[in-house]
This record gives sequence, structure tokens and C-alpha cells, in this order.
Amino acid sequence: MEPKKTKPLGFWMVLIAVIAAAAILGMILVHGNRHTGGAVQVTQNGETVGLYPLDEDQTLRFDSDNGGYNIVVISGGTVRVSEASCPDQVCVRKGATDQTNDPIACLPNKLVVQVVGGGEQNNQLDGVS
Amino acid sequence: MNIKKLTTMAMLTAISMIVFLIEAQIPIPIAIPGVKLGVANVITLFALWTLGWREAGAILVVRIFLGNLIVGNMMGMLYSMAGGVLCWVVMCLVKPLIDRRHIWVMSMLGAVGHNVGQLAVAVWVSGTAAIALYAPVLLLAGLVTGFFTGQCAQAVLNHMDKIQKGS
Repeated sequence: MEPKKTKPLGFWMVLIAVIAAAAILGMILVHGNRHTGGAVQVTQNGETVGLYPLDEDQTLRFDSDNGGYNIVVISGGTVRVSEASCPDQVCVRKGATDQTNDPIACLPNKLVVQVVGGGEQNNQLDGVS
Repeated sequence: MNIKKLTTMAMLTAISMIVFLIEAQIPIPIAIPGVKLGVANVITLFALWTLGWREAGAILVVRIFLGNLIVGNMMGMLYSMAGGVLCWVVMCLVKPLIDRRHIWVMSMLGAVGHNVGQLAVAVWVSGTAAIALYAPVLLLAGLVTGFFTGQCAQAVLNHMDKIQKGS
């Protein structure tokens, strides 16, 4: 059906290798730009709804406009999502973090928890841009 | 559209929904939003090679709509749709350039397309650029899962060839 137009396997191998290399480079950059932060920034629907110090233990509840909720726990200098209404529970299983460039996302509830501040200020997107 | 094609499409849609629903019940050990095996893509690949790009697209859209409706994840539908459609577009573009023995290449590129589409929508919906930090992991995950689903589709197609030769 397609006798001559097909590209040889080598072409595809190179293309896949390039994607893999870019991904690995990106991972190294993201990890390399991580550092211990000082505050927790909570974003909901793209708007920052709160900034909380990382060294002050507290439990916060965020209700989203679709009826869902997330419980965010700051304790012992780390932040985690302890409870979420969404079915996939990705944010809960992600566990605790005290690092920047390591966002906890609950996409069904459009909630993003990020550690910010601390050491030198880094542009959040340096790692991938 | 003849009856045989219609019933084949209906059956493939049903199979892909079952696969999709079973997969939704399996917890993934990696806590990264959007990472999953994507076994239902085997059906899309199969339909692309045996039926055509329109049919594969129709099966895909119906599966994503009904599958997410049953799971009850409306936000998930948006992500799935963006990812699924981009995956389908990439695979349609790549298909004429690929040898039938190398379907896994198509699947890998499709899976990367899926994850890129999904992440783009996630950045847009959440309004948080930091979500883009997941891009490298998702690219790599797409290559790995795409390889395995591609091998599955290859095996299915090879067996179907034998069955059709025998009949």
C-alpha cells in the first residue's frame, strides 16, 4: 500500500532518541534547580489563594467550585495533600515535599500546591524553557 | 458504511471501553498526573491499520466520552480528549511514513503526543505554568508506555493477518 514513502527504522530510532534525550535533559534541569523552599503557595483556578510559611504547622482545607476539596497539611517543614475528593488520588500519593520546582497538582480540583522562596529565587520555568 | 464495518467499529468501541474501565481501576505506582499505560490505544492503533483514520477517530472519541462518563470524571474527560485527539493526529500523520512491522514507533510518538496534549490542557485549566515541570517525566513515560502498547497492537495485528489468511 505504501511502498516507497516509508522512512527507514533508523530515522525513527533517531527521532525517538532525540525525544528521550530532551526528556532526560529536562528532568536533570528540573531536579538540578530544586532547593528547599520557605513558603507554600496554593493556586486554585490559576489564582493564588494563599501563601503559608513552611515552618508553621497547620492544616488547611480548600474547596473547589465543582464541589471537591483538598486537605493540605504543613508539618515538620514539609507540605503534603493528606486528603482529596478526586478519584485518582495522585496528589495524595505524591507525598510530602519541601522542594521548589516540585509542584503537587490536583488537576480534577484545579489545585496546585507549590513550595516557593527559600534560597535564591528561581524562575519557576527555567527548568523546561 | 456497510454493516460489517459498523459492527466492527461497535465491537472495537466496546472492547476499548472495557479496557479503559479496567485500566481505570488499576492504581499506578507513579504519582505523576497523567501517567498511565494507555492500553486502550491498542484499539486505536488496530482501527487505524484495519479500518482507517476516520473510523479510528470516531471509536476514540466515543470511547473517551462514554468511558469518562461511566467513571464519572468530567475533568478527566477534558484531559483525555485533548490527549487522545492529539495522539490520533500524530499517529495519522506518521502512519503513511511507517512500515507495518514498526507499529511500536507510531505508538510511541502517539503516546508522546497524548501526554503533550494532556499537559497543555492541564497548564491551561489550572492556570499554573509550574505544571509544565511535569513535561520531561511525561515525555519519557509516553515513550515507555507507547512502546508496550505498540507491541500489543503489533501482536494483535499479526494474529489477525493469520486469521484472515486462514479464512
